[in-house]
Amino acid sequence: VNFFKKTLPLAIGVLIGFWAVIEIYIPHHKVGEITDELRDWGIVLSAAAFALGAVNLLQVTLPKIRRREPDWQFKVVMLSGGLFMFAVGFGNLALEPGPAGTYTRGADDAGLASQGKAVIVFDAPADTIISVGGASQPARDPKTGAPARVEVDPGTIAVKVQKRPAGYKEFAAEIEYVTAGDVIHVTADPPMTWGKEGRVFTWMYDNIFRPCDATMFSLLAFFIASAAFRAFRARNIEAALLLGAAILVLLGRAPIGRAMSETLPAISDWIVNVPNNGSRRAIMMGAAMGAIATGLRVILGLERSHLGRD
Amino acid sequence: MTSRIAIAVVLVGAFAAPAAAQPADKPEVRWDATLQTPRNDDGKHIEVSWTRRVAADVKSDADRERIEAAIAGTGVVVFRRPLAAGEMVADAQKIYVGKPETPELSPAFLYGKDVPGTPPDLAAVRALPWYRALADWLVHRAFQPVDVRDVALEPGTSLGRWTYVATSPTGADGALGEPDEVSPDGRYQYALAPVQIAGDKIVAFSGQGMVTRPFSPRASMFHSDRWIYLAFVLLAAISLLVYMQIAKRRAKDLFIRRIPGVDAIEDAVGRSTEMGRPVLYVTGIEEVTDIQTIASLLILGHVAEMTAEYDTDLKVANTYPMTMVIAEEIVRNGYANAGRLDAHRPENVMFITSEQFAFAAAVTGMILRDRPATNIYLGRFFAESLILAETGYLTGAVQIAGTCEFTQLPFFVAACDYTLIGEELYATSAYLSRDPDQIAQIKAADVVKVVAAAVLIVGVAFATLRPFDEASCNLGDLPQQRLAAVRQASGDLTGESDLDKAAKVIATARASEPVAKLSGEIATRRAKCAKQRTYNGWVQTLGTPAFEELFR
Repeated sequence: VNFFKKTLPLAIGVLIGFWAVIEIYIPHHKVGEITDELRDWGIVLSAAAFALGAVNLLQVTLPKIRRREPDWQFKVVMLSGGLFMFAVGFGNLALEPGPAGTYTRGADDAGLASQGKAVIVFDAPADTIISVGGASQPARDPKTGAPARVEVDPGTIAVKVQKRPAGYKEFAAEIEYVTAGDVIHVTADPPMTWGKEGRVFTWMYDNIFRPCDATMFSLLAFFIASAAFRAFRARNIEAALLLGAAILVLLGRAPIGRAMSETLPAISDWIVNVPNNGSRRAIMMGAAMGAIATGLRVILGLERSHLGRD
Repeated sequence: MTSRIAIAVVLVGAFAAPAAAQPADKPEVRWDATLQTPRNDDGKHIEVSWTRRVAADVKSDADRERIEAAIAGTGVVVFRRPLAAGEMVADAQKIYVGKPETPELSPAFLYGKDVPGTPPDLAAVRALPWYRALADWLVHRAFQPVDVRDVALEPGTSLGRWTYVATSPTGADGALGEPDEVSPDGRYQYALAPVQIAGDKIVAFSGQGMVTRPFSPRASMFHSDRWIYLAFVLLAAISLLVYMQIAKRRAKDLFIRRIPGVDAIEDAVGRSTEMGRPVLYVTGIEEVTDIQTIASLLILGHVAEMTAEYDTDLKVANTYPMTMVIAEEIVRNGYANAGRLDAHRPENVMFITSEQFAFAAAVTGMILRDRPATNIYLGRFFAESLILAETGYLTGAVQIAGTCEFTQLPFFVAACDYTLIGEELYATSAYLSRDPDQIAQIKAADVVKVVAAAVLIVGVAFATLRPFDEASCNLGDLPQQRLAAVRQASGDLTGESDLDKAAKVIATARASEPVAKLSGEIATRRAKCAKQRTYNGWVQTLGTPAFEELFR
């Protein structure tokens, strides 16, 4: 038991750790190939861990809902949301969107033929964008609602029709052998798609998740204000120095500081670039040394606290 | 079956047909190609460079000029082909990749064997047995010349047995902009041919090219630019082993300063026990591959042991499932170490979400609902750091944070009771273990730090003692009026003129007041430059350039 629980994991850790160090110094492709293989294993393990994560989420959340613990309703919303997004995210496995469009060749236009041109006429909803040979425009005139007609030179013409919002299947075709006088009718109505890139998933993500995410981020402004208020109270010399430096930097960075004196921005820059930068580098260097030492400790098998005691 | 064998035989026979006539093989241009593996390469790249010169045999000046103009006016197209195992090929040799002044690559070049360039004669074909006629037709269809204008040439485009690599702009000397990427362990030949270019398109092949000797890329076994990093790692490893020996003999002599933030962990756990509230531990918001997350997980083991001993709930919030899995195992071991495995609750080690602010929202929710008496934030944090720490502050919890993220440290310092800054995060696990072997690693890191500081001081000194720019030892901004006077007297001095040259010119110039004044100024400037040169010599001797190269 001890072998499988401690010795083997330690040996694997030491081996892989040494490899991770060695591969930095040996550029040989064989070393790189083995490293890539190990990284792939890491990715597979990480992906497999997400399944465990989902199980953990259920293990933690369901008992709280069952016991009606405080705010259990939020957990219902969370689980429902997760389940819904999961179903929608894999919806493409079950739901296949229909054809996005088609094109037909109509009767030749003698007038166009004399000009050496062909025309492509689009029949698509107003919220779609058409693209002919890379140039995009609305599928219908925004004022009159008239379908777009695009005159092109003979040859092979690349055509695309896509909806403005994400999550719809686009119609794309390369119309070959277009000759002068040809009138080509493109009829398209991009259907909604399912899956991770599908309409429902992207709509939920863009309209629910993103605003919530931005809300949390914007709360930071208020937290900064309250934390700064506490941090800048001049209770001792160090705090007073911090307060003084903060005031100078704030004034130097704000328009009012420049209006008061041209020196303030220079002082602000000096504080940021010299003492602040110096201390930042010192912390970073110390951290780098600590990281090397911690890495060595794990690689050499000296750190065993994560494996438990005998 | 018999027919199939017969077709194969005829195909081979057709390959062996006599070579098509090529233009007169005048050695007008001498090609020199260099193939080499880049420095510190993984064995998958070949650097190709070449020079084109007028051949020594060309004696007539008119011919030389014509050929030089042709070289200067043409680019070079580069093709590559892998050689089969055991394939014997001649050393570097001349080649025509196509008919000169046409955009066609010849079948002889593309397929290695000459094949009929014109359709088989119908009458002759009719006279042949049917299988022979079919073979001739197949060979003719399969091995046609290729007009490069019809092909979208991109690196990697296959043309017969060759692969297009690049087209270099006009000029006698050239090289591939980027080393050519090849499969390792193969042998390769390159074909270089002059081409006429219009825009970025090849319009015609232009004269004789060359096929290089076979070349195999070699992989380096040591990255020579990284030896300084290896030296630091080895120094750390050796220091670690030395201090471990010292720790075995005189453990009490290993002094490490107290870290108040770490000392406070046990007090904070005790406080949580007294208040009957849990301890919340956040492992940061990075993957388990991040060294700060690893350091955090190592500390978690000690914290779990403490909470188990004090019989206090420990809640661990993780951003990634992989971290959660490892954290759960570590917490279990911590409880086992304390002999309280029965008290371990796996559901207290939670995977929250990998989304940054969703994670922040969930953890702040936990802080507000469960009101932990101690919040420990160790690992890598970003913008969520202050959201967590300020929420914890509002609940009156003792908060201990630690990160190496410089931008988040001020937030933690402002909102938490104790903050582990940078390296303290890495030292904490060893500090808490009180194991001499682990404390030895802190001392080893100190040794590396001292060496790094010494290197820094030397680097600062060298950066300060930079050599003067000797290119500025010229007349520079001396008054133009005086320069004009000297120029009038003798010589053609300008601001760019060397001081020594100027002194010589003035020495021979007719004496006049401006000349005399200029002479004095030049003498002063020469003396200053001489001092600068002496100084530069000293700096050179001290090894500034070598030092710069070392840490480049």
